[in-house]
Amino acid sequence: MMRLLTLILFLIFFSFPLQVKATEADLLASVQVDSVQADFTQEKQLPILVRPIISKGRFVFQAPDSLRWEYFSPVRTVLLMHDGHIRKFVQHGELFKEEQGMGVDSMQIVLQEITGWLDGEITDTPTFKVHTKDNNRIILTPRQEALAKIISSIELKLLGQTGLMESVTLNEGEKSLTRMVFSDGKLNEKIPAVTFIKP
Amino acid sequence: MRAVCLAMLAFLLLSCSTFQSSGLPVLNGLPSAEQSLSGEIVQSCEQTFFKGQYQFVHSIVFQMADGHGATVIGVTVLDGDTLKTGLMGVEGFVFFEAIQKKDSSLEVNRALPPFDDPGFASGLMRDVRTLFQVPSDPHPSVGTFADGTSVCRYVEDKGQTTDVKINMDGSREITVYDTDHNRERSITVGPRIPVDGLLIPGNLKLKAHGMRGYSLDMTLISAEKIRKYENKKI
Repeated sequence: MMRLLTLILFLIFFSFPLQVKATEADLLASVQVDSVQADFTQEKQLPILVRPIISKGRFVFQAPDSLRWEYFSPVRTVLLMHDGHIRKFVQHGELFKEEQGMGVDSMQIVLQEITGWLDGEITDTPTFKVHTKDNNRIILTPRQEALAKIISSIELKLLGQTGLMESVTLNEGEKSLTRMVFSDGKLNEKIPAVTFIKP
Repeated sequence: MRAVCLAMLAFLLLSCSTFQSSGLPVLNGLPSAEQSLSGEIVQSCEQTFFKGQYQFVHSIVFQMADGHGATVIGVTVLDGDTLKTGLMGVEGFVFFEAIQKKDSSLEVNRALPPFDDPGFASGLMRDVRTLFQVPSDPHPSVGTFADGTSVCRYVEDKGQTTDVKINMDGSREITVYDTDHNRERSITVGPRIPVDGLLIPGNLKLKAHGMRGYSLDMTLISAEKIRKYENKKI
C-alpha cells in the first residue's frame, strides 16, 4: 500500500514533464523536456475542513531522474532525488533534519516506473488508465480496485501548448481533493546539480 | 555508614511523602487563606481546553520509542461533542480521517498504513480529546503540588485521573493516570499565542508512556472558531 501511495505522490510531481510526453502526438510533438521548474500553490480540501489548507512550494525536475520537491509553508520540507537516491528533509528550527520511513525507501522501488513514464510510456502503465478529455486536460483513473478506493482520479490541466502544466488535481473521494496550481514555470533552463543534493 | 543509612531513609520518607507508591502525586489542599481562590483555579484549568466549535491545523512530529517517526499535518475539528480528525502527509495525501460523536461511536472514513491498526483510531481520538476537551468530572479537586504550583485533579467515573497543572509562565501540564495510577500520558501545553482574535497554544507536546510509547510534538499552523453558517458546510 505504501508503494502505491508513493507512486501517487510521484505521479503528481512527475506529471509536469509527463503531460508533455502524454500529449506529444496531438499537441507538442517538438517539445523535449530536459528540465522543468515551477512554483506551486497547493489547496487541500476535506469534508471535515471548514476552510482548505493552503501550502506553497516549488519543484524542479532535471531529466532523466533528478528532482527537488520543496514546500515553503506551512511546513518546510524538501524531497530530493538524484542518482537513484531519495531523501526527505524537514526543517526543525534553523536546521533541516533527514526523515526516515513513511515510504521514502519505497520511492526507490517506483523509480523505474517513473522513468518509463518519462520515456513516453504512460499509456502502458499498469497503474493508471489515461483519458484525454480535450486538448488541455488529461484524466488518469486507477486500474486496480484497491487503488481506486483511495484515488478516484487525477486530472492534469495543461497550460495551452507551452509544454507547461497549469494544475494537477488529485481526487481522493467526495469533497476530498488536493489541487496544485503552478506558476512561473520554466522549461529547459540549466539547473545546478547541487539543487538536487542539498536541502 | 550510619549517617548514609539515615540519609537514605530520610530520602525514602521524603519520596513517599511526595509520591504515593502508585505514581499519583500527592495533592496538597489549598491553604485556608487561599480557599476562596478555588473557583478561579478551576476556571483557569478549564481554560486549558476548548468549548465550542473550532478547527485546528497542526504540524505533528510523531516519534516512536525506537526513534522512528515522521512529520504529518493534523486536522482537528471540535464541533460541540463531536470530534473530527484527519492526518495527512505534507504533500496533502490523507492517511487517516475519522469522526467520533457524543455517544463515542467512531466512524473511520479512511485509515491507510501505517495508520490502519485497529487500536490506532480509538487511541488517536482519545489523545485528541485529552488535548482539547475538559475531563468529564464536573467537580475537580483543587490543590497544590510540592513545588507550589496550582493543580486541578479530575477523576473520571471509570477511575482514570487527569491532573492539570498551571505553571508560573502560563504553560500548562496535563498528566493522565490509569485506574492503577500508572502514568499514561504527559502533555505540555505551551503558552497561548494570538491567532485571528483567539488565544491558542502555539505548541503541544504529548508523551505516551509504556511499552509502546510514542511522542507527538504539535506546532499550530492555523486555528479558527467555526461560525454556524460555516458549520453547515461540513
